[in-house]
Amino acid sequence: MVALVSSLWLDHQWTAERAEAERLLQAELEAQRVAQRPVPVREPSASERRALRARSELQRPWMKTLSAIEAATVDPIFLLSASFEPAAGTIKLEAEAPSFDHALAYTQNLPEGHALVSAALASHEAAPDTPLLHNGVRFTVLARWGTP
Amino acid sequence: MGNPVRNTASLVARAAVARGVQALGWTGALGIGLLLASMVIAGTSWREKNAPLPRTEATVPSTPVQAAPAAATVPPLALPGAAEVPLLLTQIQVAATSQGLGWPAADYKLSPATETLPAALEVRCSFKGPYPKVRAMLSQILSDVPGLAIRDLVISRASSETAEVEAKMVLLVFLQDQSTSASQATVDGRGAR
Repeated sequence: MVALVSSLWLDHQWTAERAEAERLLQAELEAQRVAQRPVPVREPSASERRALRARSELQRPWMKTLSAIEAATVDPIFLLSASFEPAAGTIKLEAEAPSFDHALAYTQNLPEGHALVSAALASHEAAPDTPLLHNGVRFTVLARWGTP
Repeated sequence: MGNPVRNTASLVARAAVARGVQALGWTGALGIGLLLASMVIAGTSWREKNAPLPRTEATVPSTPVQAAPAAATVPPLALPGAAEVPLLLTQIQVAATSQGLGWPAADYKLSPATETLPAALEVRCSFKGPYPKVRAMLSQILSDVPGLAIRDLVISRASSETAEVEAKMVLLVFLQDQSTSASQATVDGRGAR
């Protein structure tokens, strides 16, 4: 009789334990499902879009870019003008050099820093003689800087 | 007449039960029966307890689903308010004059916020002076004036023998998106000369 009562009591205990284990497992699985559910992508608000654009403008590496141009522009290259258009990401440089080869070399060396991503010779012509330059060339380089 | 083999087996079994009952007594037989029942119940419970838990694997993918990234929260920009426009203009003027470039002329325009840009104060100005001073002025306003960006910049000189350059620039000072009209009167028209 004692054995029967004991086995019935054990049966009751084990059934309760199993029910609790099943409940915990289901809770864990539900938590996994919730964690793996894709989070809906929220479109940035208008003010956030404005902030992003403004931040991009504010972070433009002006001084690095100027330093890169200064480092590349050494005698006998003489810079006449530099036009920066951040919105277009372009920089137009006009300069004078003693020869076409100098102009080409300058164009190739210009993007060696990190501020400018590319540079290309856009035009050249004979430069008027000056005390610093005889039979030189005046040339234009179009460079691009990377997005900040 | 029945099968003689089956009859014999039945007789043997009944004899064995009768001998068992005689040896154990009815209470003993009942005890053994209860013990057997207890063992069956305990065994069944033990097997159920140790059976693997049913995982609803059909609803849980074996490979984790790549959750779509939430849109990155854009941290707010610390932009000056429209009421600070006079102070911002003073900072720009001080940067120019401290480099010896003066503050000869400038045009100002307040632009309301658009779909893509915050409200901004646009300053068009030009300077003449040695390039290092123009560069120092640019460096100073970029680091000192909050919310200032350069929209356009042209630096030029007449010839390679000239040390003095002319710098024409359009500066933007982004402002907070509120009550820009309050300071419109402050910067309306031409700036200080």
